[in-house]
Amino acid sequence: MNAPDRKAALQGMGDSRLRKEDARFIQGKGNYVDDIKLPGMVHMDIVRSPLAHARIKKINKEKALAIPGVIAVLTADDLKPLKLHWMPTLAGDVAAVLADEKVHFQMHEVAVVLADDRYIAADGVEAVEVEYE
Amino acid sequence: MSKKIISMNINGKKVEEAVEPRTLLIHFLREKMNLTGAHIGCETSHCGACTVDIDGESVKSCTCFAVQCDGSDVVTVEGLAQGGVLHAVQEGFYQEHGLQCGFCTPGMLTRAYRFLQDNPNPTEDEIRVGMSGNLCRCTGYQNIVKAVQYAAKKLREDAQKPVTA
Repeated sequence: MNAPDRKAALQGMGDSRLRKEDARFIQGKGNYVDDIKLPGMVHMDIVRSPLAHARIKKINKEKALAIPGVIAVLTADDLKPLKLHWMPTLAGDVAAVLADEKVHFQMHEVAVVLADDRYIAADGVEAVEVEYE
Repeated sequence: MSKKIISMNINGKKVEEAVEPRTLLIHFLREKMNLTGAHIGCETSHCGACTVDIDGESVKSCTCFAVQCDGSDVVTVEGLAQGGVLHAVQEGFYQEHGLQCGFCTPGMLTRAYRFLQDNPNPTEDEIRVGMSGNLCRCTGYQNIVKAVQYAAKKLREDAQKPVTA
């Protein structure tokens, strides 16, 4: 069998194919998660621990909540009544969503700030006061 | 925070908008202009996913304030195709399989777009150096280099075609 006949007999097997999804990716129309905009969507930023191991004595949200555009500041204590402060992981165990009474590593998530946009959320993060010991 | 009114020519369209001086260009483009082609990969100007073209230069828009680009001509990946026809670099990435997940691709394309205007006949080494500010974690760069070579060849051939009325 000569090469063109063989190729025809294979009916496309062994051929490389152009990808159907590329058309949108090369035109900036990928619609990745970060590209999605929903009505009423708010932004979140995270307060992280500067310390590797410490007890959280107190979290003061007042200054952050006073910033116009900050909607909420959530900590593990806010999630506790909802039983959402420890959640199952893919590995089958549970992990603290936000640091629960103690931080266990540097940059551990201590609180989250919800706000109208990412800049206000970042302002909120700066204004949250956490006391460690 | 007090806002400043800036105007820009984005992909051939004039826009005027009030922005906070601290707004990064990438956030301005993605959130105010809804041009979500350019991506935020690292926010530290390492990865190049946010690359756009400003006044004839490739710029990583995550380390540039929107107010710095007041009065500038900006081209993003959305502005590469003209009149429903893909730009040669877009065609090159498509034909040579220069992308997989596609996240870095808008930055790659806008960089290649500028690089080939600066150097229309590059060697492979020159392509690798010219594109070195853009990281891709899928392709291993081999096909990206081929895609840029494809586009370079096409642009040179197009340039040689006689202009017909």
